[in-house]
Amino acid sequence: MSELPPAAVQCRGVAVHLGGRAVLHDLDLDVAAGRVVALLGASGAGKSTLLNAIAGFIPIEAGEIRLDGRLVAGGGAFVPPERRRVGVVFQDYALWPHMTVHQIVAYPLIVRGAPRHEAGERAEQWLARLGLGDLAGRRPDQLSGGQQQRVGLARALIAEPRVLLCDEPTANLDARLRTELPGEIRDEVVRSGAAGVYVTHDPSEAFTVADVVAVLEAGRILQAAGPAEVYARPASQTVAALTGLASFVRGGLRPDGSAELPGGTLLMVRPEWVDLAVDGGLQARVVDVRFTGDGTLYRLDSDAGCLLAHAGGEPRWGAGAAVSCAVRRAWALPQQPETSG
Amino acid sequence: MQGVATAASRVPRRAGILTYRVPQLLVWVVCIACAAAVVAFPLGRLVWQAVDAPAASLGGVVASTSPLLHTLVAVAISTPLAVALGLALALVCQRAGPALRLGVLLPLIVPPFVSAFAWVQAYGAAGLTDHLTGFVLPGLFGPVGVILLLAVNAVPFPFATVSAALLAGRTRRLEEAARASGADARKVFTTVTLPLLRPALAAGAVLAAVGAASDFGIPAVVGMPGHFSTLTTAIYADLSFSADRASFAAAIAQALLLCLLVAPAAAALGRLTETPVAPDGGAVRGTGRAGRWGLSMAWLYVAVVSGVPLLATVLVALTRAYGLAPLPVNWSLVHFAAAVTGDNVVALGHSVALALAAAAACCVLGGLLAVLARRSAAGRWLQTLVALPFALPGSVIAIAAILAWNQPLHGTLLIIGLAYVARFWTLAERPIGAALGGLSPSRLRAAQAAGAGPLRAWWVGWWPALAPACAAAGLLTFVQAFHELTISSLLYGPGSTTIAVAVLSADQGGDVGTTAALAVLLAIVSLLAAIPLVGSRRASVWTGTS
Repeated sequence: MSELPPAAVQCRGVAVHLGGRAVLHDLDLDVAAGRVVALLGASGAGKSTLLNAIAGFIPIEAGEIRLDGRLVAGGGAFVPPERRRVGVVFQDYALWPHMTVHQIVAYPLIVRGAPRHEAGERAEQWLARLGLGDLAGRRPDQLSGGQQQRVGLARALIAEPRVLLCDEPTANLDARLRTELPGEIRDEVVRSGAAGVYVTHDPSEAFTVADVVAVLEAGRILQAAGPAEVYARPASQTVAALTGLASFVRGGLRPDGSAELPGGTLLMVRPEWVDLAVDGGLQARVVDVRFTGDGTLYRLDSDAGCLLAHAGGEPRWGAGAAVSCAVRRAWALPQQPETSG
Repeated sequence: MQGVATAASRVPRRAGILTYRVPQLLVWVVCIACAAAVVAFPLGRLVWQAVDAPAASLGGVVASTSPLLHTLVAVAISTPLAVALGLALALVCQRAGPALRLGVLLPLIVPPFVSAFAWVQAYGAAGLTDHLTGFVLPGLFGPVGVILLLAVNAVPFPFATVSAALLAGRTRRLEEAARASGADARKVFTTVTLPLLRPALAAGAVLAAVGAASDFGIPAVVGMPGHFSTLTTAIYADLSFSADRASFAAAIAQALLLCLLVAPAAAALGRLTETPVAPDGGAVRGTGRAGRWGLSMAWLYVAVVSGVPLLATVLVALTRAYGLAPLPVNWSLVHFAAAVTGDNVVALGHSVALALAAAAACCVLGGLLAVLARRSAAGRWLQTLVALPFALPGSVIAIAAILAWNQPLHGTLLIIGLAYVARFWTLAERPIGAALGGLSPSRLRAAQAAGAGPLRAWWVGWWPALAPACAAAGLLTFVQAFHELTISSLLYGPGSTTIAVAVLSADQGGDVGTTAALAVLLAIVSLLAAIPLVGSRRASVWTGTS
């Protein structure tokens, strides 16, 4: 990672209680201007809660939150959402049903006292930029999900926020948009110089959109690092499982990073790190075969344990077939008292 | 496998027990016959009367414009008051517990004439606050009292519609989006919250206006002693205190006026309440929007509107003689003893019998109609017809009943019962229809695929989900019929006094202690029956907005 500019979002020791239950504990997070941090975790991990705390929708119990160095929550201070200079993109779009698209996008400027014609012009520019130029007169219920979320994005960005907060913006969209929209959001954040916080439960979306992926579980950040780092060198078995398919086997790590199976160390192996039909490899039996489109996923049973392997092309072996395999690359998990696999 | 496939394909989209032709035909015959006899015939007689003798009707209207004027003024002032209070309370109570909600809904549960009587005991001369602090509400007997009481009695309508909108819509999210866009709390309220609630406010306003125009109990208790007569009390006076043709014609004219006043609003209601309700259960988070201050104001409102008056009534009922200080030394049960002896106990028996019969008939008919309404357009027409008597004022229904059935049934319990079935049929149909609408045919198909016959499949697949709705429908009809005053006060004869009529006559006869005891008994029965209804978050069944 190149050196980072000073953080636009700083969370220090943030704790949040909802309905008497602790949802976030002693949480630290920095987001630099022009960068995107993805909050990745299963539902109930506290991702959206953290986002709501940064936006000012909910109060924090302990710690402090600073935006651009200004204390907005904690230490007796509480700045309401409308004075935090944030933009929020919601999972359910949250577009006002009684307004037109144009009115919705112009709203943040109008309520901040901008002259009506100026706000209108800026709204038109933003709509054109996001490919919504023809829809200015429509109401939200006349738009597709993707169009609605672009309107939500335009509304969030038009007042030039210092922080853009996205709460699972693609959760209700179809597969094509799920791959398109995160890229657009990333481009806009980089262009505007705002800090982006992007909540998602989809690891590939987090990797696409973010400079830093923060993996959350049970209200704590387990690891925050670059996407490649988190994927290849997870801090724990839980992080490994939350960031993609992985198998956990006992083996020995060779100096070149490959693994000797079986052995004594707990290793994490991604499916594409396994080579199949290797001379002199470990003998394994195919238990299950899944065609994934871009290749085939095999579940193998070996002396070292259960192993997932992903190979290009159509299925070559059926269930029950014997195949030899080799682990090209593996990651020795830091020793932790974890038992789940 | 062949058998399973045909069984499943024979079940149409929303079928039930009506898979077979014979019961289906029978249901149609029963529903059409009852709707024709109980609803269409009396209303038709009323319309025919208006067309037949327009001159007499016109004469009646010209002869007495003041009840019309009074009604218009009372509705025009009490409705905006009720809507403003209902909106404020709904916003405050958004995250409040069931106790506060029940408190706000109390005026809907306690019959209006009991509320009015209770206000007199609390805020009238020699009332509770007069005893304690010397405070007497000025103008309680007259326009001020009528309008204030009509307003607080109508508050539950906008309260319920706005609460439902807040619960169903994503209001909270949409407000957060506005906050994040830079709008402060006040701006969010005017640019987002209020526009979002506009349909609910309109529906609540219409319900409040219809309720205020149709109400008889309040103007009867605090209006008539102050010579402030409304259309409903004018009809009562015309029918009860004189027996000549002219006053009957006047009563018909007043009833038609009331109809004209209420009908357009009631017709608009169907359109207004078509907002889709999609509760996204458990979306509640964070704290209430109004905080502690708002909640205490809401509790204060409940105390002033219902708490103190009901307490005052209980004290009056317990105090040995009117005028004594309501202290434990003066307490006795003589009034309660008087309330459950002689004519009163007979009246109580009449009301219980009427309410039970009406509840049973309405549940059966409501269930049958609900099934038909979900199967065909003709069924939905029937449903609309049956909804009419509930939207129209009770006085109108009573006049129609007199026109239709007075010849053989004058002054009998049967004529009151028939009018009750006409009025409350739709009330029972609604919860059952809503439950039917939420049932998926797959539950039925699953039972049939597992080998159950049609009847057994219905019993296993649908009945468990329908039973609570049927119970709610029965309870609702029972409560409404039990304390019904407007219709029974116009239809009762020497042998068919209802408990509500007994309360009204005790009040008019100046027997305060017995009236208070009867009012307490009525309030307790209504409350006991209503608590399960309110507790199940189905407050909308009360307002007919579901």
